Amino acid sequence: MAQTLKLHSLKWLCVALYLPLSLIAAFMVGDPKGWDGIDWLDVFGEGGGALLVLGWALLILGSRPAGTVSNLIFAGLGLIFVSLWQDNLDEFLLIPDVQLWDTWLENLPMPIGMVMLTLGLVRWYGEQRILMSQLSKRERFMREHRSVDPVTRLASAAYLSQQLEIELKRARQDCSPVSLVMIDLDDFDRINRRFGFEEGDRMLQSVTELLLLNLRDGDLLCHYGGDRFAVMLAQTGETMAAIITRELIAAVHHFAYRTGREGERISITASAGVALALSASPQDLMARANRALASAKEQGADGCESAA
Amino acid sequence: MAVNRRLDPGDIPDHWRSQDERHLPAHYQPALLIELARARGMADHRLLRHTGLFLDDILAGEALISDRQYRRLITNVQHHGAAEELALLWGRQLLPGHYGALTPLLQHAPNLAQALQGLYEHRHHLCPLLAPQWWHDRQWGYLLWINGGAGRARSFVSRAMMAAVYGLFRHRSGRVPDWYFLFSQSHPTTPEAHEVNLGQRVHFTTGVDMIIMPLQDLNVGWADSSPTAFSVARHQLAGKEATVAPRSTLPEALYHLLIRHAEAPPDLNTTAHALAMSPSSLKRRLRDCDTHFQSLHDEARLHYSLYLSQVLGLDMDAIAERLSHGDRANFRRSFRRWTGMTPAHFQMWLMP
Repeated sequence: MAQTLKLHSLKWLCVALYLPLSLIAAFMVGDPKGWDGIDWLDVFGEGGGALLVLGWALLILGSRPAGTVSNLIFAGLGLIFVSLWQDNLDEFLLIPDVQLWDTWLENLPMPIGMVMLTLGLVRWYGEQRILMSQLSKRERFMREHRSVDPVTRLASAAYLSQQLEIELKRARQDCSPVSLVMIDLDDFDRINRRFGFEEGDRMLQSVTELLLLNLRDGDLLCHYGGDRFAVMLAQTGETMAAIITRELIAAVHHFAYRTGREGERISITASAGVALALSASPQDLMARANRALASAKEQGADGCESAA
Repeated sequence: MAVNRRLDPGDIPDHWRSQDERHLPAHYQPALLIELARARGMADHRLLRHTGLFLDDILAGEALISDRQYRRLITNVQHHGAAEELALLWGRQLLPGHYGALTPLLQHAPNLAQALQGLYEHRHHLCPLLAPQWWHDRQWGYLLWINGGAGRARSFVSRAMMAAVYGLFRHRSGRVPDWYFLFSQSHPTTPEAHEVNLGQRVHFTTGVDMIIMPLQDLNVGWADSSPTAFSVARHQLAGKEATVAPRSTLPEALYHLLIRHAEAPPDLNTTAHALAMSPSSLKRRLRDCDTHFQSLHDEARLHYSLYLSQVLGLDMDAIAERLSHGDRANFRRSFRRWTGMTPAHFQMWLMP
């Protein structure tokens, strides 16, 4: 977060400057009310609101790169903050009505800020839709950030199980089959042993990208565990699933992977097991795909096998 | 329950490794674990917190660390969000590793039985917190892991060590073994990672940490092993061993004492007396190893009962006779406390 907040340092400088300036200006023209004149409920409401708005700005900018959307949202929240803050100063100081700037600062920034915030959110929505379409092969219609594997950035087996449940329910209604493919890199241990964990992780990330490129929209790629990937192919029959699986294996086979440090070419192969279901539980389907994978491995590397 | 028999003086351990004895080269397994945790985004200060270790010392390859520091390092890694997977991944790389003369001993062992023999003889360096021990019957080999002072790190270390033996077998034989894995710890959050790293037959909350493998996997010859390199490594290590004999930890020494007397186990007071210390100082020393007397006592008796049933093929009555003086109900109760299931269930569900 600290890294992202640095991108917006100029904006934070504006806020930091505004706070003392507004205080100095108010003290120059206003008279203190004294402790008895202060309505603490108002202070709590307006001041607390102002601080919360500042907190929102911190959270949003901390999670976003610089750009138009960030600027709009920040400007909107900043103006709302100015309004609330100025309102709050009135609780402590008696500012005469002839000081028009105070009235303006209290009333004008709020509607402008609201409009800018709305514009920012609309553009954010557009941006998010583009991102979602890029992520669709990884997360489909649901987001659960806890179940994302930190290395491959793919959803976990638990997420796969949930999605299979949904897809199998639909399959029973529509009588359309669901296929599940388990893909395992052959002899992945050797990579870790020879080149270290960092290289192993890097290879898993590369293979993830490669597999994503070779999938259709609507397919779901998950990280099953270790060096095993799972692909859910919705509304896909046996023949199509076998074709896609062979293509995935061929893609891995032809992948010219090079190590990060020396650029050494490492040839990798993968094996796969396919299982098809019309009506089964997710666990049953995963177990069958895993058994098919085990028997593919027994037949030798670089092949695929369909579950009976 | 137990009638305290006098302990034979020859049985009593008279020396053991202190928790603070710096004996394990930091650039062996600890360095591999540190490399993995850092690659998986763990910050150095969290990783090395309270271990008294510095990265530069480890990379220089000269630092020796104590059991206490090693255990602390592992418990730090256990705070990582994907600790289960890290343990398996670390384990798969542990053997034969890069451990001076120990590595050729494992790399050129003619079969798994010889490799395990090497692992046992050099357990103080290869697996200081969890000691291996094995039996076999006519069909199966049983590889058990016993507490060498792993304490809270046990779930991590037992995962890693079982993955290590599995990884060594795969690496040397080129074959995917079909073994049974029994873990004492409760059900994991990522059963899939265990399936990928250990195979389909992995069980949890069983009360023991054990691998059950077909006997032929222990004895089948491994290709490309050099008998010369193996024998040279053995001689080198034997020479080194003669000068500095590393010693078992107190929990491991006590476990062996207790299992030898499993049919009439000494209680805390008798044991403390035999070790020439007060019961409270025995308790304190065990607490220092992150364990306690009762847990060693239970572990030894459970292992002994499994030995009687699996290896000697005794039936429940005969085992109850030996362990609880014929009180079957009492034995069943104890067994349930150790494993969470009755002896019959255990036999049916977990044994091949």
